[in-house]
Amino acid sequence: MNIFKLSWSYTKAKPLNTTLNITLFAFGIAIIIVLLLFSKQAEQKLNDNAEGIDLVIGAKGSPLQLILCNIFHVDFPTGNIPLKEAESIIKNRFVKNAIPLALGDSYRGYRIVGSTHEYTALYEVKVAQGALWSNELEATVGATAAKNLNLSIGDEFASQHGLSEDGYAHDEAAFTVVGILEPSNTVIDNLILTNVQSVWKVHESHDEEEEEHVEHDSTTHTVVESNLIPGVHLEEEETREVTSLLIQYRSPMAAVQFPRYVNANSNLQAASPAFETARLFSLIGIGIDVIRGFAYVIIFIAALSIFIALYNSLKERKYDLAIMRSMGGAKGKLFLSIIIEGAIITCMGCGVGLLLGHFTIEIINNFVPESDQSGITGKVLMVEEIWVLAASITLGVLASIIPAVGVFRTDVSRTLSQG
Amino acid sequence: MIAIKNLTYSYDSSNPMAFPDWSLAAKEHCLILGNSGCGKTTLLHLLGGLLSPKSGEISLAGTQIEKLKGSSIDHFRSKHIGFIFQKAHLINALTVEENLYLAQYLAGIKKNKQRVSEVLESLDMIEKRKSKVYELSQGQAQRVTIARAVLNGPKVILADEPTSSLDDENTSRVIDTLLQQADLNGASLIIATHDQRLKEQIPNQFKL
Repeated sequence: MNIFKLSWSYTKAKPLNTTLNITLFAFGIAIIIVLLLFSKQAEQKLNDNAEGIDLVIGAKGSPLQLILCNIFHVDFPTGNIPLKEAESIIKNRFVKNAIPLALGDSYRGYRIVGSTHEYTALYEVKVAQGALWSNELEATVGATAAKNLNLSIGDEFASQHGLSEDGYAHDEAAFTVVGILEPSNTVIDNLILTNVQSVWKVHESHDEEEEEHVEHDSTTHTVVESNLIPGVHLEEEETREVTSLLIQYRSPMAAVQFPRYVNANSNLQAASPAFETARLFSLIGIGIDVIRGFAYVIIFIAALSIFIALYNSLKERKYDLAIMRSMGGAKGKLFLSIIIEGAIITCMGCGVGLLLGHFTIEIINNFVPESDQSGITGKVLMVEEIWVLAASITLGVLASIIPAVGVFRTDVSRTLSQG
Repeated sequence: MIAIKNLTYSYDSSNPMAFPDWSLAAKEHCLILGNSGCGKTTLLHLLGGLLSPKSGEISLAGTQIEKLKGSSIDHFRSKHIGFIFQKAHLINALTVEENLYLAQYLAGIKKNKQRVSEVLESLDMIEKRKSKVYELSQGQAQRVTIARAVLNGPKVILADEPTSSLDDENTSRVIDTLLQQADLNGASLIIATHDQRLKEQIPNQFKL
């Protein structure tokens, strides 16, 4: 017999009460852990994906949509911008680097992105097998997309128009897989990459047949090389379009002047990923705050429940405490035994809650594919979790202090002579 | 062994209680007799150090216990005094033997399984050692409290109205058990009671 065994026996003696308290505590902790894992990792993901991109230029519309579509590849494009205008805007002295993106097609729910090799360089993604695309209709597939679509080098597939699975299929122009990328834990993992020309080709194949004849007749104008897309020659009557440009600034000063310049002087729209993700988070943040507040209320109720349980049982245990005092149990020892009882329940609640929280994330990942694509995992521990647990255990112990003080107030002689 | 001298106690200042001087030799047994409310339980609690006197001396096994303060009186009590109360007051959350191990633990004595078996054996309770306390009959529960009182080899066993709710047959059985256990453990048995049936078995009496 020792003090832990004594406390443990008391918690075991009331299994229903103990279970209720542990469950309450565990639920509160689990909700907070899930929110913590989710919001921290989502924030981390967003920041990782927007890293190195100072500004996104696209068609006019919602700036948030522009960011969501072109950086995180979740929303639909705001529209396209003329290549000609894009070429002229990147001549601005503030622009250090610009990466074009051409969106619009997908293959079984995974987006096909036409871009340059700089796009993979931006995320520092390495090629696992094969190579990056070099010719039209060659595709290099991100790690998650390759795994889930079961694509390997040499496979051919036809893209579908739009970003949903039921889009019209461009059967006439099939892509060939030439490479698979290594997992990078960024949005690239879920993309199928190709060059901009391929996206044009898939869409303009009908029109081009007619235009080509015209082109051959009038090849007198000077050939201008595109600054944006290597290997593309600009034409006099340039009608081709891209979806957006990912811009890197030359100097921090650009952040003040360049977006205003773009928005005021062209039909284009400039949106800052940093600003828009912050805005997005402040929107989601309200929801997260509400749920978090709810979780704290549950934890508080759990602590209150432990307090009430101990307080009530102390009334029943008046005689137990008196008898233990009469058997030589020092006040401090008995005080400690009640604190330990509270601590046992709290710690078990915390332990169960911690496991429950991490399992919940993993279970969501298994059943919701979108969540799996987001790359959020329950297999990590965060420093903040330690704080949540420490604070909760402290709360649980505090809740048992008031009942435990009852030990010092017990009048042994009177209690025992009462009967 | 036990001696009280000029002992007074008061629950409130207006109503002091004075006890006549009295003493008892080692291993002798005694009844404290008196009507309800005359201070039998109070005297028993004074002897056991659960109350401290207003004035006077209590000497027990060579120690002036009225001078012991705080946890030292708890410690002294756990080693030298065994209490038996009117009700069993066992710890319901524990089994029979755990109740006894608890008595050893609270007294600061090393866990001694052999001693626990020995005491339970002598009280014919060895089969119930793993039972939960609330599964016991009243008589069995009382035997466990006797086991707990004698477990640590006390010099004195203080029993408060142990027979008040029992019929004649059970009363004599309980008193026999108490006497037998006191003799077995070399302890004095002091019973505070108004139960006249006990006079036959314990002739030595202290009237209040």
